[in-house]
Amino acid sequence: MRNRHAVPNALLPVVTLIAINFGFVLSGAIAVEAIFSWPGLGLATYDALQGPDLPMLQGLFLVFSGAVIVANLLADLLYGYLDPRVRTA
Amino acid sequence: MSSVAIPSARRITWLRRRHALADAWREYRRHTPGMVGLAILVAAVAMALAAPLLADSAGLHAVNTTANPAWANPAKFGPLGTDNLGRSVLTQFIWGARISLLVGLAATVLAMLIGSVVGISAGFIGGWTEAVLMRLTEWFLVIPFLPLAIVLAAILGPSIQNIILVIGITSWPAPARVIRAQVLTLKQRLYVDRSRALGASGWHLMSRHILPNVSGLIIASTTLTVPVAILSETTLSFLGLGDPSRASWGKMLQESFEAGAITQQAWWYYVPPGIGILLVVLAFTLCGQALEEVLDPRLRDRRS
Repeated sequence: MRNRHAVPNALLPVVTLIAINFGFVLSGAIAVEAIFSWPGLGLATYDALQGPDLPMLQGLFLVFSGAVIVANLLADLLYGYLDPRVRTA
Repeated sequence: MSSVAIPSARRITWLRRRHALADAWREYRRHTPGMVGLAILVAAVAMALAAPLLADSAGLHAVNTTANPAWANPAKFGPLGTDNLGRSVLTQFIWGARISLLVGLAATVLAMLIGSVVGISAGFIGGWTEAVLMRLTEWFLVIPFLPLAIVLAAILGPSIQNIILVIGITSWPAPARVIRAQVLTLKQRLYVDRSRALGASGWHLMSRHILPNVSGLIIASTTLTVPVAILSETTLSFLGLGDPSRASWGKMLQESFEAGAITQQAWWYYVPPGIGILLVVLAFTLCGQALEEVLDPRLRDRRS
């Protein structure tokens, strides 16, 4: 019962939220990587901001926006898989 | 000839408003977390306003503090020690409260102004206006805050006005949606129909009937937006996008981080601004939730 009826229906809004929150995860990465000096895109952003190194920032935001768009696209595709009713729409 | 003085319509309105305010205050006073938040807020605002009396602003500039020892701990120098340039941490903390609160409040006022105008006009006018405004709101809502704020702050340059502008124009969508939802239900009330039947214009309806009825909601969501704005200011300052010439709590955290306060074990440099931000954000959130419960009776049962 739970796995066949409750979980798929409850999963839909969760998937939407995961995709939207993906962008906010990136924001958190910038702060956390700057504090703990973890080498990643967040620290690269922080270093670029100290310049400010605008071309570097442009590139980074291109990657970030691409990642957010892909995450949202994946969420939309997952809808069709999770809930057959939205497939025809 | 004795005549009973009949109060004017204006006076009746004022009496009714004063009664409503007194009722709200009585209800608010019963709300313990809200009162705690209010007490912290009053203390923080008093400290920010009295900054010139409490500490000399000359102590913010390293040129005036060459006589002080660097990295002095609280036992050696004053109540909160000194930083790497010999500046008193207490002076920076007191003056930093000003900028942090100012930016938080000003950005929220800007956000609520945009949010209220968009929310009320989208909800009340409807049709194409609503469609365009709500798509714009949704567009702003899904854009992650920090990257957008960084881009804007990097392009506009670091100054206090720009920080206020950046935070203001990135935090209005959520209040706008809440206000629109409320306006949609208010629009269906009978008194709006009656007023319209008497020939009231759209502007009159919006400013005299809709706005006063959503004002409680606006106040509550203002109080809940301020902590977000203060945290955003801290984040932007910490990333080096704040005004370099003004001390704020976020800038203190950034400077202590850059100066290596953690390796120096100079806890007195980064703990006070951290606790300050924590307390102010907590206080605003407590007040906002208390206000929400007072102004929206449906939420009141939640407490019991």
